[in-house]
Amino acid sequence: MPVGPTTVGAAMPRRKRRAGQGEARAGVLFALPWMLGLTIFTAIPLLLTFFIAQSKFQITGPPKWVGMQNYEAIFADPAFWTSAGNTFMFAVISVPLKLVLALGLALLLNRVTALSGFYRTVFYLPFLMPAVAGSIVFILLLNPSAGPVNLMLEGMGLHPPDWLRDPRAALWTLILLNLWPLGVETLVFLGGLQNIPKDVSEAADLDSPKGWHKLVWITIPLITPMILFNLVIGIIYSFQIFAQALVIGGTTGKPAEATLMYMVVLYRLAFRYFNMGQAAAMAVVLFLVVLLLTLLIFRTARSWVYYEGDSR
Amino acid sequence: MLGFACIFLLPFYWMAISAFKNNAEIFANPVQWFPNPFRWENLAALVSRDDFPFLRQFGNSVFYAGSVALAVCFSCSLAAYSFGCLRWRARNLVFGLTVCALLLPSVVTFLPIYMGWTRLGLNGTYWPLIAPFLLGDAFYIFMLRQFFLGVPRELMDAARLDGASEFRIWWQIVLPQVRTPLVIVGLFAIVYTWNEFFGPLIYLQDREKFPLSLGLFTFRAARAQEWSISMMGALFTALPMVVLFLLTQRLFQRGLSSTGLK
Amino acid sequence: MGAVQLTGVRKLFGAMEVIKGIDLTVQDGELVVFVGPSGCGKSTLLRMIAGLEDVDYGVVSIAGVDVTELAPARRGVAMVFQNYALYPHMSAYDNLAYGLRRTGLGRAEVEARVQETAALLQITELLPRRPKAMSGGQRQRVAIGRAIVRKPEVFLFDEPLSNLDAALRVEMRSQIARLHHELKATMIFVTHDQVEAMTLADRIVVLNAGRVEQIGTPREVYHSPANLFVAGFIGSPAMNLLPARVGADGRLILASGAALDWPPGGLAEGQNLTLALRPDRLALGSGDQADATGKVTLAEHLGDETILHLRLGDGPGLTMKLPGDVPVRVGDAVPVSFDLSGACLFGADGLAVRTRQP
Repeated sequence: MPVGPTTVGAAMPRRKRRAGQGEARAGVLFALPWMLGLTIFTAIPLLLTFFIAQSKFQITGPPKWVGMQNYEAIFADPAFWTSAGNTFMFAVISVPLKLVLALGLALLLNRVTALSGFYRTVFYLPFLMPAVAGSIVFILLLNPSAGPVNLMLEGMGLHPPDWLRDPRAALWTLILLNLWPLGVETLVFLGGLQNIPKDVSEAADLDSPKGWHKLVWITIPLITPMILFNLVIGIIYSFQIFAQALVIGGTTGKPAEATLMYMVVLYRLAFRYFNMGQAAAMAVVLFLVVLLLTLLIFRTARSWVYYEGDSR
Repeated sequence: MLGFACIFLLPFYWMAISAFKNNAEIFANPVQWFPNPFRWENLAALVSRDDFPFLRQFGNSVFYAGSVALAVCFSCSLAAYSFGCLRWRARNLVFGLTVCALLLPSVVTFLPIYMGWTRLGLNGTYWPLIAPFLLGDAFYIFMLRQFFLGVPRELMDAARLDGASEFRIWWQIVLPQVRTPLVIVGLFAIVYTWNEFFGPLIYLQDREKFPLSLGLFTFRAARAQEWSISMMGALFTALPMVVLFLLTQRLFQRGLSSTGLK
Repeated sequence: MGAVQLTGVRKLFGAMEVIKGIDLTVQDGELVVFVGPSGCGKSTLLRMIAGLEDVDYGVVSIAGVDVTELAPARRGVAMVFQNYALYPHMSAYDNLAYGLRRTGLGRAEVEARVQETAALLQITELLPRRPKAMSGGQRQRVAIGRAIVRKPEVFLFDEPLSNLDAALRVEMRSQIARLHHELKATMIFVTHDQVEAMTLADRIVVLNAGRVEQIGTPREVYHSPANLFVAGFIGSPAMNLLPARVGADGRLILASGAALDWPPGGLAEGQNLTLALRPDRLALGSGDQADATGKVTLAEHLGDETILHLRLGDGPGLTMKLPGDVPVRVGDAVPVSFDLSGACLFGADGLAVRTRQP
């Protein structure tokens, strides 16, 4: 009946095949399709883009290595700089603005108990709207002579700009359009606010002489993870804005290239002029910029984000 | 508060009423807050235009969104199960890569993918738009994993002791526990795909194949002045999603709150 | 029915060793209880026997077969989990039938076995119901049924009674004891509750920090603890542990100065030991016959007995268990006499040196 060696401890070899191996094998197998997908649709294309950026590429012919020529070309192209500037301005203005608005909205929603379901629905709704449809409607809304927005603003005695024809205002059209779908960010913040334990909130109420003290010193720090999340997602998204820009400004970013966005120029290069190489170069530049920004944010995040202990 | 909500709803409202006016009325000054007359004929005009195959594109959108949702539910539940319920050596590494893929701007991958599909001769079909989701997508995997993490390990251990294979455990024991999250993920997939623009733009050329998001765009690009039709089109592009959302609100909110808690 | 043998079993989590070399044998038909404080590794050890955790070194064998590398379902074990782990979307019947169906048993055979088990546990009316529609105790019985129906070599119980309320726990305990008797099955039971351990076990394995402290029958473990840990762990209230020195005359000298007689033999003068006395071995002394005097810090009146917590001078605390209702209050000075029958002596290394039989 006794089986196996009767020696104890270090004299025994470490087991290689274990009972848990079935699970480990299953783990790999189940994740295999996705790993395949990651490789085919993310890893490899990522590397290839870098490669294409350094070659001259017509879809039909074989690629030709041209080194940094594409980069030189795009840096020399005024459209590149215009669109980069526009996109940067757009991101820098709309992302923080959106965060602030969403946070404010979330704070308000957190207080309101009546009709809260209704409000949540309303504020989430714009998110569901296809970008194209939304943009078209906004064009109508902001119509200088007949759009309700201007008419209301004039009625209040303000001097509204010609949203779509004034180059200085046109960018704001895009920003406004992008501020409209606050729903996701607001709900994320709302989730964070409601995650603050009730007794912490009450303790803060007792400790805070002025209403806004609690907000600044307690509430906001406790939702910094949500702020981080929304910030990063916001940056990644806003730098790549496309559909709305295309509808509002067309492929030339009218009026006067004020709404010309980076992705539109990229799209133009790739699908109108069929210049894959330069398009890829633009993609690489954008990627590096966004990557840099994201890393910077994460680096500083450690100092201002409150972590409660990851479940990962 | 109520006022703010109204401002928020303004674009919707405007879209809805403009859909039922004609051009002149849309631009009327002073603003016409309610269509008078209520032009139902705009609706008829929308579906019968030659240069805007609305119904067909609507069907395309349904097909597109539906296929992606089904593909996502299947493929992502496999991966999310692996990340959330199974223990294996490289798991955390691969999941880390998945999170990185989440944060990756898609701009930097779409070019070679486009060229690849073109080489395969599948440019112009829905294959490039749907096939990747048969393998999975970082966003949905991330969302689903949160729910899979909540399945008690004991349940799987009991099934293992009972002699169930790992696949059977996934299919018969764990999946029934995440039925609702699967629906949530499916809903998200439907909404995102219904509104998807860039993909169809670069891969489809035949107007008959366009999904609605693209169809609306090309129509407007060609006929910028036909506002009523555009508005009617926009209305019916947005409406299905709004209705879907209203019917399944709580599910959406559950889905969102599971991801926001990082 | 089978015996379980563990030889040199070790487990590491990363660099940390959680199971540090365990050898033990469970005889055929025995009910062995693994007991110990939380974190001692008892559940891990159980799961290693089940095959749900990997064994890093050593051998696990069941019914004479080396199962260390076998998948859980092939080991001939069945397990009852702490949270029952019933498949929530299946009826009780399907829960019981699931494992059977996986082994390819025919419909009739499955039906027969399920009904047989249900009758044994009196859960026949519960069969069509889902776990949601059952009480905790009912779920527990279905979980046990799921284990029984597979006719395993060994039954494993992972703290199955922890989630039940006190009354139910007592009832389920006797049910399990009855089952053990009827099925004559080999069972390994994990619990942190030593009362459960003492009442159910044929033998107890006391575990601490991944090591076996003692294996023995409940009587052995109670009356002859092998070391300080077991002495302090088994028994409620816990055993009194008093530092003592061996005097010139072979008597034990406590910190308070009290000298106690100890039967001669084997004790070196000056040796530092720990004297362990059960609380029920202390009685109220009468005046000059007392071994020590203590001041009451806490008195617990339980009706049929009184538990007094005392302090000897500024020395160690003492716990006394006295029968009946003793009218003593906090602050009272109380004379204590020690009954050294059944007392144990432990050396500086914590191991038992002497044990007096009660």
